[in-house]
Amino acid sequence: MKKCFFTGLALLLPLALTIMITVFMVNFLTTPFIGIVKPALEHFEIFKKGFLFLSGPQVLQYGSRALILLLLFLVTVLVGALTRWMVVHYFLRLGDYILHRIPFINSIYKTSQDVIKTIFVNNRKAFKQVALVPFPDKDTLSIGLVTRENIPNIDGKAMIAVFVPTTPNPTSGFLMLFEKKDVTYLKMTIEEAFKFVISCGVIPSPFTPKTSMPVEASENIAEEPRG
Amino acid sequence: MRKSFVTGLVILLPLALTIALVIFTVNFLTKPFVDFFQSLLNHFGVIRHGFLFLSDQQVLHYVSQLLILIFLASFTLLLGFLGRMVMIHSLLSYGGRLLHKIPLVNKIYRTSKDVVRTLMEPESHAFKQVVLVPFPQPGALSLGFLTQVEEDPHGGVADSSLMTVFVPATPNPTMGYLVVYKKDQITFLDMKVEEALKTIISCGLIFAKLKKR
Repeated sequence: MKKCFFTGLALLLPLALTIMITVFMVNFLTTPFIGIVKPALEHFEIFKKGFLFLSGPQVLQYGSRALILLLLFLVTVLVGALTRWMVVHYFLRLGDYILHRIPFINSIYKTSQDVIKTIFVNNRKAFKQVALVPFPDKDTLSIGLVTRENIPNIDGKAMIAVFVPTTPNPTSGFLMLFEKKDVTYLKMTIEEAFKFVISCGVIPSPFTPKTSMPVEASENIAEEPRG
Repeated sequence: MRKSFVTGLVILLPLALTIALVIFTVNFLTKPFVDFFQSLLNHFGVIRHGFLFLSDQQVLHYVSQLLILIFLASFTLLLGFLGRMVMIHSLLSYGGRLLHKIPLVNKIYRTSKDVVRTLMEPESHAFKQVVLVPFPQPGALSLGFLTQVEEDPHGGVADSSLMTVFVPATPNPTMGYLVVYKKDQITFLDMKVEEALKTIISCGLIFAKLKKR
């Protein structure tokens, strides 16, 4: 009985979590617009009747959410496609120029624009490499993600920027610069690293250093997690 | 198709973020007063009709938010203007003394007054200088903001004098660690606060050149 229950739980919980996160995302994206789309749909009386076991208002709610998602996607694609035309490009530049001129708002806009441009446009190596770094002190190792390499320090040494996430919620963490000799690149994929962090280390993944590292450094690190 | 989607996202996301932040700030500022203003406007029956696709309730809400913002700004200006007159100034300080006498409330009032005074002081160094500190251990470097400088009795700053540095978390800089370092452990950077914030919010994807000041 108990065993059956836990087997069922193991099957159902991942599904429930996935649905929960998806619903959260959909709600997050559609909530700002639902106040406009819902009255519009009501006005045209499209979803007047219930459908199967859903009542009229529920159908209206889900219908408008689906419509909003579709519209958001189409608008994004459309804006992206239209930028290839010179005229539209000019208008976008004009809008940019105006936003850059409004006090307070311009600093928010500029910052988010820069951040998003860097994330989307040149994400060659960002967040693709997992590494072990000495954090919070020399004898402790933490898992981190390499965000940028070859940042010249003041004394000319190349530094590596590493983001060390907190556990179990990796949406916050610390950003630090390390010297190359202190960072051990791992063969781990990003998904494995996230699983490791979110599960508080319950899901183990082998810490195999990349072979291109200096021999003495990789030997030192390889013993640590097993011991 | 995929390329168009990404391009559209790059154009639209900053706009959406900006709007979201502005709306959040406006809601935060106007929330305590919105009920009062809405019932006031309702009472005088100023807004009865919807406007375009907005219902009359929505119009009422937005108009009262706008009114509150204007009202708040002009009230702050007026108070600052009046505070310079001697008569009003004594009245205000009397009010301050009264607040200091109320138990529990006085603790909150005194603390918030001290914090705001220190932050608003024109000659304060707080959050104006970006520094590089060996946080959390000597082999690592973190970006931080200088918040407090311990000065000598002569007014100078010795190498061994203590400095307080705020090391923000990534990517949300509204929390972090407060650490104290000696002056010779700190590297003062020639970097704007905005640039440092960009680095922190982007998890280091944007990294301005590190230059010593």
